[in-house]
This record gives sequence, C-alpha cells and structure tokens, in this order.
Amino acid sequence: MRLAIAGIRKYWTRSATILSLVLAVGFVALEFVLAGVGYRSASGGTTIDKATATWLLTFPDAFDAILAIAFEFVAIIGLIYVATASGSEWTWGTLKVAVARGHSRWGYTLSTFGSLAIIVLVGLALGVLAGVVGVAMGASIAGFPMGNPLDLSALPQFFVKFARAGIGIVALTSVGYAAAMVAKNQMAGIGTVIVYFIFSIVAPALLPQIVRDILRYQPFSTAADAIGLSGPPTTVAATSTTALDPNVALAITVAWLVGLLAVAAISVQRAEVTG
Amino acid sequence: MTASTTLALSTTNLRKSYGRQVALAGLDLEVPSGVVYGFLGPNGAGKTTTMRLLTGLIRPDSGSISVLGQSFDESKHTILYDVGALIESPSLYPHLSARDNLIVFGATGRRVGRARVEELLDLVGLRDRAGDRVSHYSMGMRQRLGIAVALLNDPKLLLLDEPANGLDPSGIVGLRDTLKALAGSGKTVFISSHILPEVQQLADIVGIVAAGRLVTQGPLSELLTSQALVRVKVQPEETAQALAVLSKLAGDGHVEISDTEAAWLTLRIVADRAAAVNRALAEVSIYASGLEAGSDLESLFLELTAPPEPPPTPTRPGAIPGWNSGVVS
Ligand SMILES: Nc1ncnc2c1ncn2[C@@H]1O[C@H](COP(=O)(O)OP(=O)(O)OP(=O)(O)O)[C@@H](O)[C@H]1O
Ligand SMILES: [Mg+2]
Repeated sequence: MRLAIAGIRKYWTRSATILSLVLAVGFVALEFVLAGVGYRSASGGTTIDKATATWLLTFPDAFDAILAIAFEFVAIIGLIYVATASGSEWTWGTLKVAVARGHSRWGYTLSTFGSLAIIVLVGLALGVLAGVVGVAMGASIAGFPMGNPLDLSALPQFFVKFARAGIGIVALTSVGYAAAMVAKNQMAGIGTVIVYFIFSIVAPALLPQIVRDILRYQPFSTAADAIGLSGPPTTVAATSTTALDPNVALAITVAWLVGLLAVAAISVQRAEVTG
Repeated sequence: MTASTTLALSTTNLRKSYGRQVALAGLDLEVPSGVVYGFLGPNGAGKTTTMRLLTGLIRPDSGSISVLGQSFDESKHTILYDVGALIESPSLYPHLSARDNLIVFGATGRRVGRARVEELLDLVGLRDRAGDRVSHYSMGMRQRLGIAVALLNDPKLLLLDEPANGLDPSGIVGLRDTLKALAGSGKTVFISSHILPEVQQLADIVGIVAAGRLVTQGPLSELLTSQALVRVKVQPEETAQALAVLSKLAGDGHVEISDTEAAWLTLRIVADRAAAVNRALAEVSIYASGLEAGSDLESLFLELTAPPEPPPTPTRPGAIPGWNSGVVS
C-alpha cells in the first residue's frame, strides 16, 4: 500500500502523466462540443440527426455517450501512458534499485501497476467530468435541451456503468503494462501497444467474419461490451459484430486482467535485471 | 582468513555467463565483517556481474553465495534489507527531486523514515539542491544521490560499484571518510574501483579479479609487502656486474634490467632491504647514483591482471601500447 502511494508520488509529477490527462480530458470535451457544432451547422440534418443529438447532448442519455467516449479516449491514451510509465522502470533502472533493496519482484510489479491503475481511473473520472461540461457546452451551441445531469434517478445506474468502465479500463491498460514488462523496455512496450490498436480497431473491418468473431473476445472489445451501454440510436454498427452480454464480457475482461498481470509478474520474476 | 572470522560475504565457485560470454568462471570471495574490501579488476573482469549476483538481480549458473551469514538466493530477498548497493551508474527518477527519489525508493524494501532522508541529504551534500529535479543535476550530484540511495536503510553490508565515478575531490574525501566511519562502526564495505591510490588509502583487504576469477585476495599490507620493489641506478658500464651481485642477493630471476631507463635495475625484494642492496654494491665498489624503494598496488594490479602473452602482432600506428591489455574478450 505504501508503495502504491509512493508510486502515485512518482507518477503524478511526471509530464507524461499531465499531458495524458490533459489530452484525454480535452478530447472528450471536444467531441461533445463538435457534436453541438455539427448539429447546429447541419440544419439540413445530414451530419447528425436529432436522435443522435439527443443521445449525445441530453441527460440522462448523454451519460452513456459520455462513458462511451471517455472510455475510448482514456483507454487509448491510458494504454500508451501505462506502457510508457512502466517501461521506464526498466529504461531508468529503477526496478533494479527496488530489487536490490530486497523488495519482492512480484510485489513491486503489482503495486506499480496499482499506482498506474489509480492514475488511469482518475483519468476516467476527469474524462467523465469533461464530458459533462462538454455536453453542456455542446447543447448550448446546438441550442438543444440538455436535460438534467443531476437527475437522481439516473445516477445509480450511471455509477454502476462507471464502475464497469473502470474495471474495463484497468484491464485494458494491463495490456500495455504486460507488453512493457515482457519487452523490458519503454519503446518496445509502446510499439506493441500501437500494433495492438491497429489490430483490434482498424483490422477487424477488413477481416473475414470468423476472425471478427474471435476478436470480440479480445480485451478492448470485451471491456467495451462489459459497460453495458446503449449505443447511439442510428448507428447500425457496420463493422462490429454483436456485442457480448455485459456480464459475460465483464467476466472475460476480469480474466484478461488477471492473466495479463500474471504474465507481467512472471516475466519480471524470471528476468535478469542487468540495466 | 581464519575460520573464526565472521564473514559478511562469501561466494563459492560462482559462475555466470551471459549467453556464450563467460563473465565469472568460478569466483571464491571471502569478505570479513567490519572491513573495507577493495574489489579490483580490469574492464570486463566481472565486478559488476558479481555485484548483480550478490543483490539477486541475476542468477548464478552455479556456485553459492552467503550474505551476512545466511546462504542467499533470490527467494531470500529480505536478507537484502540489510544490504545497500550502488551498481554501475545510479538509477534515479529524472523528473523527481533528490528528496522525492529518496522517499520513493525508501518505500521499497525495508521502510525508511523521513528523518533518514534528510540526514542523507546532508551527508552527501545535496541539502541545498534537494528540491531540484534530478534531470538538472550534474553527473557527480547524481552519483552522490546514488550513494545516498545505497545508504538509505543503514545497511550492514554496503556494495559499491565504482562509487567515486564523477566525484570531485571533496566528494571523494567525503566518500572515503563516510566509508571509513562505516567500517569503524562494524559495517562491511565492498567496493569495486579502478582508482588504485584511492583503494590503497581506503581498503583493509583487496581481492583482484581477472577474467572472472580471483587472482589474489588478502590484507592489503601483506600483498604490498610481497610485491615490494627496490630500484637502483648504476653507471651504464657497471650494469652487468651489478646484475650478477644483486642476483645473488635477491635470487635468480628477481632482478631485471630496465628496458626503458638506461642502467636502472629492478629487484623484487622488500623495501626494508634497500640498505642491503646498497651495501652489496659498495662491496664491489659500485656506488648507486639512484635508489628507490617502495611498493604500490598499481604494479601488483598490472602484473596480476596481465593477459597471457599474445602472439606478436604489428602495432597499428598511433595505438597506445597496453591499451587493450586488460580487456577480457
Ligand atoms: N548484460 C550483459 N549482457 C551480456 N554480456 C554482459 C552483460 N553484462 C556484462 N557482460 C559481459 O560480462 C563480462 C563481465 O562484465 P562486467 O560488467 O561484470 O565487468 P566489470 O568488471 O564490471 O567491468 P568494468 O570495469 O568495465 O565495469 C564482460 O565480458 C561483459 O561483456
Ligand atoms: Mg562494471
């Protein structure tokens, strides 16, 4: 625990942390502002129709939109961030110091991930706040009713989904963590993560159905399904396959998290620390 | 070493290769408690590899290690709570201050309080810059901080890999005083170094390693005695006669005529016998025009770590003779 707290001390002053948080928050807010601008300028109704605008800009539906968008941005930025931050334990040789001071390797590996997970969860929370502000701005630009964000009846459901998104985000960033720990190197970790993105987001559209059916069990997909969000009404997802049941998806996501952390811990346990 | 001496550190037949590169080829070390042990060897001899093995960073291929009286392997990592180490260059968080680095590292291994952090900032002379980012530090300042990290948990055994790297004269004096004080208070200091005069001033015991094996180990004073040299200068035409006389005194093969300085002869005998050298020459009416007695770690080091004579190869123009002599390949 004390190590996880010390970990937050060592990460939060880092410019990569601040930059990642600013980017995540900025993109989420921007997305809603742009939706507002899009709705307004598309008086012909071409870019965004009314139903989509309602989903995006009117509470309580907008909560789902906020979570969906915050989840995507925080996942992408968080995955790269975690690979960067954890890879530098190898690049800087600071893991070596912890091991030589007698810390257990797996203990260090897990608590370092714990600190990073906390930072990523803070990122998700800030992303959601930025989304709320973004919705308010977007709605006012579009001249659209934004509804009541403090609608108490919608909040419990929102928190459940937020918690599911949090688990999903943490599981996803463990992909970046495991990549950096196996590669023992920052750049290799980041590289692996980028390849993973291309594979999991871009490639499925180009691949045959059977591959897509398999790919929906990969963590990015299961973590998104696990939140149990409603989609924008008009999006007939051309590229995605049918979503998994949220609870099944959540279970698979947790399994990914456990498995990837085990991979990271075993790999550090066996490593020769010569850096 | 006698069996009754307690050992702070020992290794038996320690072997380690990186792929096909042999780094240690059966190392046997014995480091008694409460001494400063100078661990010397040329580049690539295996010093850093030894330190890594002693701190569980890498695993030996075979052989055993005992640390602070307990047999050590990676599973017994808590033994390292009483060990402090600086291995190769200091590893620090560049975006954190010296103070925050110490606090963050202090959260690993055995817990370290804030008072200790402040004490160490004073000890290594970083108090005034304790709040600055380490990325803005000079090399010597990082080295000082690396030493402070090694001292965090007030270790019983301190492993320092070339700790004087980049230190200014006052830093070196400070380091020497600190290490002597630690050894004085019963702690053990195991230090690798290339700065032989420094080791000569500091170490009680030295071990010299070459090509992954220990070539000698023992109290510094004894090693230096065994290595003593007397140098004497005579008239050029008397060189042959002097050689004959002195060979009787020192024994065959213990006297050499210098190839670089005309009419200087080197005798491998203890320094106390310089007077006897002078007397023996005077008896045959040779009067020395120069006489030097002494011993130094450097000549011992060079002699013990010299690689086997290579087949003669033409020297590249501009190559420095002996430049590659210590490198194990
Ligand atoms: N990480 C590594 N991978 C492969 N070989 C290595 C590694 N580290 C050291 N070696 C090899 O092991 C041998 C011993 O190296 P080591 O670093 O222990 O020497 P050293 O005595 O510390 O040298 P120096 O005085 O230059 O610091 C060398 O031949 C070196 O090339
Ligand atoms: Mg070395």
